[in-house]
This record gives sequence, structure tokens and C-alpha cells, in this order.
Amino acid sequence: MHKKTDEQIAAQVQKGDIESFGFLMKRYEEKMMRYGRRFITNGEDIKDLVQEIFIKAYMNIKSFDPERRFSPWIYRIAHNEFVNAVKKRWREKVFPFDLDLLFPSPVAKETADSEAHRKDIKRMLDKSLEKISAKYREPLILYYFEEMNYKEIAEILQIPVSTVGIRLKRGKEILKEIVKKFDPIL
Amino acid sequence: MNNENNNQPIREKVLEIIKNGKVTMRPKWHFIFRTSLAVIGGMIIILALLYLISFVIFILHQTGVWFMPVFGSEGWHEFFNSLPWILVILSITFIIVLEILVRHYSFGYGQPLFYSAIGIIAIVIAGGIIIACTPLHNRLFKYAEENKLPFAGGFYRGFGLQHLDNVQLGTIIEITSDGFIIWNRQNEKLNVIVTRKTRFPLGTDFGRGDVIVIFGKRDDHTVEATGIREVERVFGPGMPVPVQMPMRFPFPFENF
Repeated sequence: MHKKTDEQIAAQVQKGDIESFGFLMKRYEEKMMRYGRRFITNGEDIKDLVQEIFIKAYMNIKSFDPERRFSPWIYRIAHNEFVNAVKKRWREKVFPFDLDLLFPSPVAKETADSEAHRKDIKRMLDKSLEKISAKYREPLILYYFEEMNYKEIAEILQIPVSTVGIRLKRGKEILKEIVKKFDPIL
Repeated sequence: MNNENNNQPIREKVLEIIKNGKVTMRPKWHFIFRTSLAVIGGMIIILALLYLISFVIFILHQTGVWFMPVFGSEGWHEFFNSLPWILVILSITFIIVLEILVRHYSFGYGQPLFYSAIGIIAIVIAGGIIIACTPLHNRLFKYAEENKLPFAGGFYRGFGLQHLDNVQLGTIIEITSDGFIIWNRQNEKLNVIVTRKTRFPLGTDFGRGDVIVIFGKRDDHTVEATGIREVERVFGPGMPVPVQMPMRFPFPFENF
């Protein structure tokens, strides 16, 4: 089972193998907890939400196409769950409509950050995450912590790939400004 | 970080819930059914949009409003004033619903909203124009006039036979000393008065049997023409047209 891909295990679950779903949960439990903790910054009971994510994933597993990657599929479920939780509990504005979704943005190419640069950004993000609006926070988390590419992030957030690039670029700029302002030592 | 402590219970709890049958896997047909519903819904909205837009274009031709912009800024003003706004707003609502539906799929959300909206608008307008060019609405309108269209009869008569104060469309049945007499779709004879101020953006080569649109204030059965143009019968006005007579509109007005 350890050598099987997520997609192969998901295909087994689709055939009714419940135990295989346990393996999938094992692989994603920590990732989901980490995603939730960074997405929801107010001491939310993330455990309940992650449980709900897995239940929804199981209920809807037959809508998953094993020819495609499993990880963006389950992160999409997680995204919806966390966004709904944020909306419901804190009435935080979660970008229902945005100008950068309306107009075509210049194509922002995926850049390969150096390992040192990635570590810097991750450290800054860890410190200042709650000061960044949800609109920029989520692509930053998915890119730097969950190590997803632009296309996968676009699939999870259901936005154009170019918008992912723009949000990451602006997010990094905002992050650097916040760090300069509040924590110049970093 | 107490992930290790948290991990086990979630996994076990979820597996327990599944094994107890409290949660079941939705069958494949559930998703096929949902997708089919979305596709059918989308198709119905597209067809409704094509019908509405082609109907609006047909009605604008039928009433003569379509030709108003040729009379300049006043014509444009009249054009916007006389648009069937209820149908236009309904069409915009359908476009928004379609856009929301499309954005659930990668071919929709993968594009900026501007592009997908422009794409939808371009497709439905082009389709609407093509349908408006077919005899569909003209035939339905004729049935409606003859009270043979039980469901949409009132709809066609209401929009197609509406009286507009400043736009008249009809067939020239007589040339008079100061203009024409036209026969319109409502079976009225209107006396059109041509003055020195009347504009003829497409020339003055009118004769009996020609279909013209007149821009000008109507007072009872008289219209003082601010502008007149001939109308090509692309969408077929459908009114009985007298046999073309050699008599042409002359005349002193050409020298104005």
C-alpha cells in the first residue's frame, strides 16, 4: 500500500475498500491539519473541520477521476470547508468577487524560487500570516507550505492560473511590507 | 504541536462512522445525474437566451427602432428609449446565471471573467441574429395576429404591435403633395409630412410599396418626419405590400 499512489488508493476506495480510505486519511491528515491551522488563524477547532473534510471526501469519492491528481481534489474540498467555516464563524470577507478575476492579467509565469528564498518566505509567512488578507494568504500557503504548482492552486481556488501568479506576487510584496513594518529583525 | 495525538482519533473516528453506515459513498450515477442536470440547465438557458435575443432583434425591426441610430444622436436616444428593457434585463439575468454555471467548470474559471462573459455574450448575440434572420418569429407573429398562437400570442402581439410615439414603420401606399401616406402593421393609415428639416440619410428614392421607417412625433394619424429611411426586408415585416408602382418620391425635396 505504501508504494501505491494516492490515485491508485482512491480507485480502490471507489471499489468499496474502506480500509484503503484509512491509508489516504493517514497521508493527508497532517497536511489538512497544517492547511487548516494556517488558513484559520483564530484557534478554530480544526479537528472537526478536518473530520468533515474526510467524510465529504469519502461521500464524494466516486466523483474523483483517478486519471487526475488526487491532491488538488481533496484540497478543493478542504478549501470550501475552511472558507465556509471562516465565513460562518467570523464573518470575514472571503473575496466573493474580485477585480483581478474580472479582467485578464498579464501572464505571471511560474518562477522557481531558490530553497533559501522559499525558507525566508515561509519564515515570514509563519510570523505574519494573520495580518495578510485571505485573498493572498491562501495561494501563499498552498505554494510555500503545501508545495503546489500554479495549475494545482488554480484548480483548488477555481481561478485563472494567471491570477494565481498575480496573487502570489502581490502577496509576497504585502508580506515583505508587513515584516518591514512590524518585525524589522526578520 | 500535538499532531501525533490528534491524528489517530480523526482517522479512527471517520472509519468508525463509515463502518457504522452513518455515512455512505454517493453512487456514480448521482454525479452523472448532477452533471447532466447542469448541462441540461445550461442548454435551456442558452436556448432561452437565443430565443429572447432573436425576439428582441425581430421586435426592434418590426417596430422600426432598429433603424433609429442612422438618424444620429437623437436616433440613438430614441433607440435606447424604445428598447424592450424587460426583455433586455431578462436576457442579462440569463447571461449572469449562465456565467455562474460556467464558472464551476475549468473551461469557465480558467479564463478571466471578462473573457468568458464576452465569449458568452458574443455567442448568444451571433446566434440570436442568425435565428432572427430565419422566418421563425415572423411566422409566429403572423399566427399570433391571426389568434392561432395560444401560448405566446399575447407576447408577440404585445411587443410586435406596440404603438411608439416617435417611430413608425409602414408601407408607402400613396405619395402626397407634402409627403406620403403609409400603411402600418396595426392596419392604420398614417399621413407622413415631409418638411425642409426632414433628413434622408439613405437618399430619397422611395416609391409606392416601399417599406420605410419614419422618425418623428406622431399626432393622431399624422407624423411630422424628422427623418425617413427605406428598410430592407431582411426580417420580413410581414405586412401585405401593394404591388410596386412606378411612381417615385420626387421631387422638390431632393433639392433641399
